[in-house]
Amino acid sequence: MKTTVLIVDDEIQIRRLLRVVLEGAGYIVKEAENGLLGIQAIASVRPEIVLLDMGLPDLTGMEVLHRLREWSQIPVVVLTVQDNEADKIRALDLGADDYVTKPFASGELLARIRAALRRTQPQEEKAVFSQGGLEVDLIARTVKREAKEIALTPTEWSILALLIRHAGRIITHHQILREVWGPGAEKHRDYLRVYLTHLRKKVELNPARPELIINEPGVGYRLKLKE
Amino acid sequence: MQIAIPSLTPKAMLSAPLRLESSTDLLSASPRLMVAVGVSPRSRSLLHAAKHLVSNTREQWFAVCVETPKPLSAQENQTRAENLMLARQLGAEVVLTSGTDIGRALLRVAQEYKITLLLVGKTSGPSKRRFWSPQTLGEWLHRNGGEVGVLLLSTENVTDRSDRPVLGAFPESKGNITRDFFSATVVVVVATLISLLIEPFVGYWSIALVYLLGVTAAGVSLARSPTLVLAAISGLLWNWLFIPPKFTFYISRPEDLMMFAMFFVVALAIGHLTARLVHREQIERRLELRTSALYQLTRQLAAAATAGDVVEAVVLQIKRAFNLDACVFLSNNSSGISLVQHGATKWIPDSALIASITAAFSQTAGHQEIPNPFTASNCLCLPLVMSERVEGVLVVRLDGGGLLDPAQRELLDAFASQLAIVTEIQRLAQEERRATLIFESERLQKVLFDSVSHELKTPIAAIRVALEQVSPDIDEIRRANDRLHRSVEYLLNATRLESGLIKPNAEWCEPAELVHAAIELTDSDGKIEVHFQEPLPLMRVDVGLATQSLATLLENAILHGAKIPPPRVSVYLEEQTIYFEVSDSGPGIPVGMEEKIFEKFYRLPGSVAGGLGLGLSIARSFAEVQGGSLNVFRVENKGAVLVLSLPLGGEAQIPE
Repeated sequence: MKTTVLIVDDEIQIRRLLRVVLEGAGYIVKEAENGLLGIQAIASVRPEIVLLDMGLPDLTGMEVLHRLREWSQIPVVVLTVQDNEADKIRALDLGADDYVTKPFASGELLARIRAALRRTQPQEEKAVFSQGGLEVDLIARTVKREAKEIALTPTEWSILALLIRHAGRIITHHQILREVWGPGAEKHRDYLRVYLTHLRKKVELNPARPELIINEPGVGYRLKLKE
Repeated sequence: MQIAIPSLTPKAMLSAPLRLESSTDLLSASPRLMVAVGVSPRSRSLLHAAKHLVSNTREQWFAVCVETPKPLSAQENQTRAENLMLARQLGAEVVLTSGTDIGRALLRVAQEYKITLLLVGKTSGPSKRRFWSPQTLGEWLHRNGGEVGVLLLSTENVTDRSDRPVLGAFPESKGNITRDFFSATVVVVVATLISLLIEPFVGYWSIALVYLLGVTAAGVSLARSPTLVLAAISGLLWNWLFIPPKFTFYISRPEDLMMFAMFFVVALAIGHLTARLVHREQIERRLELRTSALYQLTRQLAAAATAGDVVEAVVLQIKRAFNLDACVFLSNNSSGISLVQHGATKWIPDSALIASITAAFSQTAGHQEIPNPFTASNCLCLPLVMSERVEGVLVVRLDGGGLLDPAQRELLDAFASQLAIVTEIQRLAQEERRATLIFESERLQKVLFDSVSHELKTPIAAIRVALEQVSPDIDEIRRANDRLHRSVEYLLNATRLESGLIKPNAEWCEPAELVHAAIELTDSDGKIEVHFQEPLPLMRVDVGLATQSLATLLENAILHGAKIPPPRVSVYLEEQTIYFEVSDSGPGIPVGMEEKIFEKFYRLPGSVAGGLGLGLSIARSFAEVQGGSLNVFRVENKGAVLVLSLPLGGEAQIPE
């Protein structure tokens, strides 16, 4: 069965191009040109995922998100032109699954959509994550790099497992700190940074040029999936 | 309920918590508090104690002062005015009432204002101490308070503050009393003369009525003591001159004795009653005048729109109520005070006075320390205090050494309080307007900026996605598109920098990560030599800004340097600063141009085509907004060497 994507954007050009890209990738595309129509379409069309532009003519993207999250848990990927980290974090806190900054490459957009869809369409839980010579067994709690076992501290393990569970999706600093250290630790970004440095040294081939754990400056981290 | 509070000096009270064990039930439900303010300086500590009690609640509280017919000394009047002023400054609402019995008057007001707790000095109110019932006011209130809780506070150890420089003492008009005694003498003489004339026709009993008439007439217009003396003398004169045997104080007939005794009592009573009536009338007239003056003032203040209008209204009212000239200094933005110009009166204080007042208040304006009223070159200066902040000074010129009587002074204090309130409101409103304006303009800027970004970036995005759909051999178009994108980014960044929209968002990162992220932003194809000093600590910077800054340096090195040897980045730590040194093997930067290249839109003559001349200027600004710098280093036999330095920003904490 094909997946339905709803595009909420006021720019007809963007909508047209997104349609070309998404239909090329096998999605069914629906469009809405402003926030209110978008909310109505979500209720009537029942898409599997929403691409939401932040700069809409009637409601702001934030308002749409806020209203939407009162009754729906549908995955939302936000399209933004702002290089404003605070706005991205706000959108994520309001319940967006991920964001794409314009101008974006179509591959990047498709990867974000796939990752966001994974939240609501759980494929069979894979016990073993493997990519680029790294093998993580989530049940046996072992990590192997080129078939050689690596020892991780419990905290490093928690962070890595969390990233793998959210593979491909952004996780904010806030979320990681709360999940790993518990509520109240949200302020200590330096903790996180120190642990990530150690973790990268252990799991990345070239820690200075990370290919697995990607930093999204000011927002959070993302475990990059190789397509 | 009596609560002992030792050593209630105002200072000690503010620091030490009051011991109120036995009154928790009374205080638990945030009481409506009223303080009885009297004529003794001890009332000050009562007021401070009350302020302390209500400091945690936002409940309104009251200070009540009872005016009794008993005339007050100048010192007492002065102290009372000061007490009431202090009450207003501490935030109490002042209630003035009159009555012969302080205790009953207090309870009446307490019921009117639904007071639950009445604060009274333990030793205050000698008026209730009668020879037949040695009760203090507090004890009486305590017994008769009914639903009103009465709290007695010991107010010992209060230093007399009479050494403070205040406006000179107000002498009670002694001249009037002398004149009254003179008038009383005239009345006696006239009554006696008339009596002597008519005595042969009417008999000596009727003479008593003539004297009574005199006493009544005197009571209406004269003060109490002359009236009472007049009553006594009239009785004695009647006895001596008219009651047989004449010219003796001896009274032979019992009916004459009875008549004389009754005359004496009636005369004294009439004298006393009329005097009291007149006194009360005077108090009421004064209160009425005061009320109407205050009413007019508040009405005018309500209509005043600007600080100038407010000052003009107050000055006009002072001129009307006291026939005195006044001027107002208000605190200005630079933590001092300055004279407010207006056209209400012609009087303008001379420069010496202005200088002395501004000097006295320049230190205190806006601060907690509240100066006392003082006089300077025959002007009374009343500080306008609101919420423990000096808003300004009201300066009133006293005519030729003339002094204000206590009631006038009190009214003037009320004027000053009104002015202080309105000034504070206006100041707060102005601050709020300014804040809103700033907020609005910032918002507008952001909206503008966002829409410009949107307009510029959307077509680029469109082109980009379109290009991905057509055949892949259109690299040139893509490059052009990227270049357009970069230019737009530069322009937007320049705009953001100029409008102060850039606020660095520092976070921990590894210097090496910055370098590699920057390299990824350039089309270097990995041809950049990287060298790190090991080990490098984590640094706290805005990753986005730092990366862009570094990427600009790398792009310049690729563009202007030779291919071989390739551009080189070396990163090292020195004195809590990370240095990113980017060098190339190109022609270098001409001598004297080291600063010029950082100017906006400046491009070195003969440099490669392309670019706006914005890159380095933006890169330097990005470094500077987060406390770093970007400079040209001159190294012999090398191309251009640019060094980006960024502070470490502290030390990353290692969690337990």
